Amino acid sequence: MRVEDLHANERDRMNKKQKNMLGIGIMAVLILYLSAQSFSNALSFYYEVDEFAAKADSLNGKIVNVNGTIVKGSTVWEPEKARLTFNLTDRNSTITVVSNQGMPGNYKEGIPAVVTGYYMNGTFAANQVVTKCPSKYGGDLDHWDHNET
Amino acid sequence: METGETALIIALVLSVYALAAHILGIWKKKTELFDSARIAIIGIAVLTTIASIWLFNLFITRNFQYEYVAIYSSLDLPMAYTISAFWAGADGSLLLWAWLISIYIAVIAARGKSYDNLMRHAMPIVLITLTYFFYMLLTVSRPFRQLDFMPVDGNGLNPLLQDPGMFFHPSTLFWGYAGVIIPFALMIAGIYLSDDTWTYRARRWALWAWLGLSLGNMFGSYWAYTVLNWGGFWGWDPVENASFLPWLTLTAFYHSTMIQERKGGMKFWNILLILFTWELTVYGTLLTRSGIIASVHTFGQSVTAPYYINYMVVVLAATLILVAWKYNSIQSKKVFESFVSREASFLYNNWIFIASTASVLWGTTYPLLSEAFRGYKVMVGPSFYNQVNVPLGIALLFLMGICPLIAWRKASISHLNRNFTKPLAAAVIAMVIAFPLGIQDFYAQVAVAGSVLVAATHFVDISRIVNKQKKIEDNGLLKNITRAFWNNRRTFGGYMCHIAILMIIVSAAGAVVYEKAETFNMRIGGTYSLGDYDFKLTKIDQYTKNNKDVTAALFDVYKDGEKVLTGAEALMYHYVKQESTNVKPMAYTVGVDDLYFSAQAITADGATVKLKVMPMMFLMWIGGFYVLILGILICVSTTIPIRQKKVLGNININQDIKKMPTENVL
Repeated sequence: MRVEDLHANERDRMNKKQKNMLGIGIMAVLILYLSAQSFSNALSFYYEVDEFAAKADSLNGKIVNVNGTIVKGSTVWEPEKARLTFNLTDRNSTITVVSNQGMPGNYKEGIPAVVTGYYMNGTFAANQVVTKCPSKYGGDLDHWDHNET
Repeated sequence: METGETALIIALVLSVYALAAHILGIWKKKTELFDSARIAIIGIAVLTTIASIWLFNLFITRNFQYEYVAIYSSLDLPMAYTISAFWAGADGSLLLWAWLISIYIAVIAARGKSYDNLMRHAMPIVLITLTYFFYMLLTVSRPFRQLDFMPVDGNGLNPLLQDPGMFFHPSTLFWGYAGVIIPFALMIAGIYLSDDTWTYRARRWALWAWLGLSLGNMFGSYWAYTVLNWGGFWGWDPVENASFLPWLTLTAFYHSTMIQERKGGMKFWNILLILFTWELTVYGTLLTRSGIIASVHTFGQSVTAPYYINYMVVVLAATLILVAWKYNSIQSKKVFESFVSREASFLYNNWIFIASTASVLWGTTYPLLSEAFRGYKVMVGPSFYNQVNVPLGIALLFLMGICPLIAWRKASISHLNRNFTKPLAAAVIAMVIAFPLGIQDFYAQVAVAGSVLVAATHFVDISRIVNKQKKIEDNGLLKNITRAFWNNRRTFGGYMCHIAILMIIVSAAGAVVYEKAETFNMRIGGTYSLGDYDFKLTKIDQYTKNNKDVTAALFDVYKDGEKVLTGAEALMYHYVKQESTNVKPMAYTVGVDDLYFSAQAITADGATVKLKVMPMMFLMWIGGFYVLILGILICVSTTIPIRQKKVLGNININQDIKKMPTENVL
């Protein structure tokens, strides 16, 4: 075989490897693109109550997360309908939340909670209510001597 | 003097001493220093055990003077949960982690014969970490901090943690987390000494850690299934992801080291994979224990986050600098001759796991970055994780199906024909048979095809191994199988793990694709249908159990008119102390289906209950708990011959290979 033919063969083999790498590269880019799309579709924004109250009307029923504290004395629990209604506040604004998913875990008034859902007709229809564990010093440890500060 | 902190202070001192002794011993080549260092290491283990027993004691005696005990337990907390409250919070968890690490290194230190040069260089890495943990336990993360008053009662344990899962999930997970540091330290030592046999030494520890991580993740999943009331086994919650990430990279690591063992390749992969595994272990602890992410696991504001972050940064920087410094002696052999070969399949394995890790890490970390740098918080929904990871899982399934039979180096067309025609045919036939039987969903069909392929190729390879044994010495089928098994435990163990993963994938596919769910408003005596089952609410019950008031809706379940389940409960717990109400879902296995009951509300004459029928769910627990564990234990029981002696011939080895009892030398 002539030297030129040998070199040509080598070039062809390299091209095959390059083609494979190119193919893998294209696939990788495609996968990354699809993943990025999927990611942005899965994002939901997270607001404090006052931020949400300001934007509520412009959200057009988009699913969002709102963080606030459950207002004491605001709970209405209707077991026959498994419907929970309560107010969520951050001391600047308050919204009314309605959930048909029954009693959320660790539900208690006065503790923080994150509600996920959408705004409809003046109330927040939550499809998920997640209570946050009370903070480290949230539940006051009971002093023996009640005159202590 | 406070017992716990005293023990930790002495442990800290010993840890510093052992570290100094190692460094001095290496530098000045004085072997006696290693002996005293090893004794110090055993001393550390004794002291951390004392500190841990002390913490258990504080909980058992309900000593609320200690802040940690007061926050995580109460007088009405049942004793079993009081004991498990040890790891309810960040401080106790760190103590558990340090305790387990100290026990592991004590085991290593006690085995004098194998304390070779590699281990002598690896131990300082562990000791630096342990010293750092002890420092944290005495300053910013103190389980033994005392209050200046004596509370009448403690706060009590989070009701969601008052479940049997509390015993198993954190303990197995930290068993795994603690185990990861050993392979990591061996890697550092291996790079420094230009000794590639670090992967052999790391293998069993990696398996041991993997056992812990696998169990930890399984228990976490089972716990979520039986405690959280959405009836699922995985929600891509940031905290679930936190423990999943190191498992992913460790799985990749364990596979990829086989290429380094057999062929001397993929060395950088292995270095990076174990580095990531350790970093992700610390990251996982950071996420779950420092209060960064709001989730079931948060513990309020914490000052420990910077400590974990700084540690991660230093480890990353130091490792990369070391790799750069020793770059020339890490050269891998070129092992990839073809895209269709067993070596390539290991590469694809790594790619898939890395892609999964990257996506889960991105989804978990993005909200933190967003909040930190852009000031607004976001949540990443499960759809992202599923859309990326389900295809990756399918790819992995088929890769599992190919790997037992595909040739090393380069698979020719005739080889592919010979080996894969029958398994592929079996897979296609299975799909065709399944279709009229009701399995028509795309993912279900893919799961069927993949599982049959995996089962078929694994069976073929096992038959070949048995036949080889038969040719050596034919003692009848049973003896041939047992001999073959004994001589090839690593392969059999590994295949068992594959089958376990297969069971988990099939279970997930069945449960998710064919799940039926509906919420019913029920009256006592009424019957409600879901799937093939009829659920009858028989009565409402109320009773007190330990520290909670239980309200139960009881069910009888019928299938085709026959009673298949009686006394099934949907429960609600009211915790008197915490004044909170929680739903306690219950799952019952009937035939191949799991019947899942989650009460949303219970009144005197009725209940609103979410019912789910999930086929194949039981397979996940059998596969993940029993088959997987058995497979790992079989692998741990093996010893691997060091095949890379020739490759290492031109690399500087400063160790006496013959002294290693755990691996045999060719």
